[in-house]
Amino acid sequence: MSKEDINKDGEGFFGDEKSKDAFGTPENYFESFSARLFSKIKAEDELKDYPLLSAVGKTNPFAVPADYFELREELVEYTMLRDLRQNNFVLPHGYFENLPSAVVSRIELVEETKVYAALTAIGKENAFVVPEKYFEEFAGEIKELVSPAKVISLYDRVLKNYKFAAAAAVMLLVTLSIVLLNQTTTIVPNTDCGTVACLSKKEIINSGIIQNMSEENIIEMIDINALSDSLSLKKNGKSQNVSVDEVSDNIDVTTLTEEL
Amino acid sequence: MFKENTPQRDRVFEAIVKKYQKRLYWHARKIVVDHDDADDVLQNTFIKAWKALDNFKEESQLYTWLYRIATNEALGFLRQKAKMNTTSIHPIEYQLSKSLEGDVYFKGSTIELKLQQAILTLPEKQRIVFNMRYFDEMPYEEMSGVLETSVGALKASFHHAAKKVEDFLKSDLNPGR
Repeated sequence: MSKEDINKDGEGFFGDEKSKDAFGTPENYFESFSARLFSKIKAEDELKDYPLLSAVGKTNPFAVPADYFELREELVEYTMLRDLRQNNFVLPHGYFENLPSAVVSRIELVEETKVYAALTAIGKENAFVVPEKYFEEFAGEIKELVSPAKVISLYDRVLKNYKFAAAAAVMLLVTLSIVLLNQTTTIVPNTDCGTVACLSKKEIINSGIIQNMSEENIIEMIDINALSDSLSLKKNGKSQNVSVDEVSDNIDVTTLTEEL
Repeated sequence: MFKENTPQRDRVFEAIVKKYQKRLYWHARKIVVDHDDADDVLQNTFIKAWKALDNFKEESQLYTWLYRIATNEALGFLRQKAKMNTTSIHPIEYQLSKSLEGDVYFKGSTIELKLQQAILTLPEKQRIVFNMRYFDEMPYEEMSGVLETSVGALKASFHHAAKKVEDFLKSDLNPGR
């Protein structure tokens, strides 16, 4: 038989479209055939030095429980039961992707630390603890911290509660009236007011508070009225009273300290 | 990333807090030691993350970014604490080491206490590297992203730290030698 005849026969038997339709092959069967064939030959070649192993054969020795596959078929009818058999365990995102590097890292760590016997003997148990329910409550606490404060408009605060506002205004008016009507005109000297003006000069100098205070703080602390009553500055060798305006307009820490 | 003060942003942030709070807490706790301080650091970390969430560029992984904020917060917190404490002549690490002995939130055995005290003798950076590598088992590549330090430098830092801890423990177990 000539080469042309073989080709001709081949075309006649396998090459026509009718034959292809009747006998299908897996995808890429012919393209990968030679690679698979060589792989098999190589594998057998490798095993030829191990006659006992080759003799065992490669039949699957593992078994499944009786009716295992049939049961799965049966469960098709029971959708709820079938769903329950599905794997409900979830893994952290990227678990399998990160697993190889995590394993390598752990092995490296073991290698790195094996020379430190005293350290590794202790173990890594976390000895620190947290208060009960700390983590359960943390998310809520942080949410409160970052939420912007609710701004209540003047309308909401006052006008919407006009009854409350009106009642409060009337109460304030009545209270003020009573206080003003009962107030006497007698001025009682304030000897325990707690301001710089009420302290004796000696007390202030001894305490040294003036030296340690800022100018603003000193001015804030001064009871101007009490000061004008009690403080006198010597002008032209004579003592004279100082008015409130004079003190407040011309006040200066150095002068005040010197005078005190 | 998200519009400010939207429900979507709130939900995402809450999910982030729930997912990372424990890892970041333990990271901060190992640096500042005290629970209340770790709580402050954790809150500050998330508040900063909340403010900067819109600017998060996803150039780094979210948890790398959060770890970095937490590390900086914890270190800043310790420095501030050291500055505020003018009554003690001892460094802050010594004070932390002493406070651990009476800490109600530390349940370690004597040897576990010694280990923590050994760690507290390490310089700041070595302490963080040691904790991240030894306890958190973080790969050097990830640690490099958090601490912005080369892998080689981190490896060297870890070995210096492990050696010092080992020496501390040995001298403690065999005081005469």
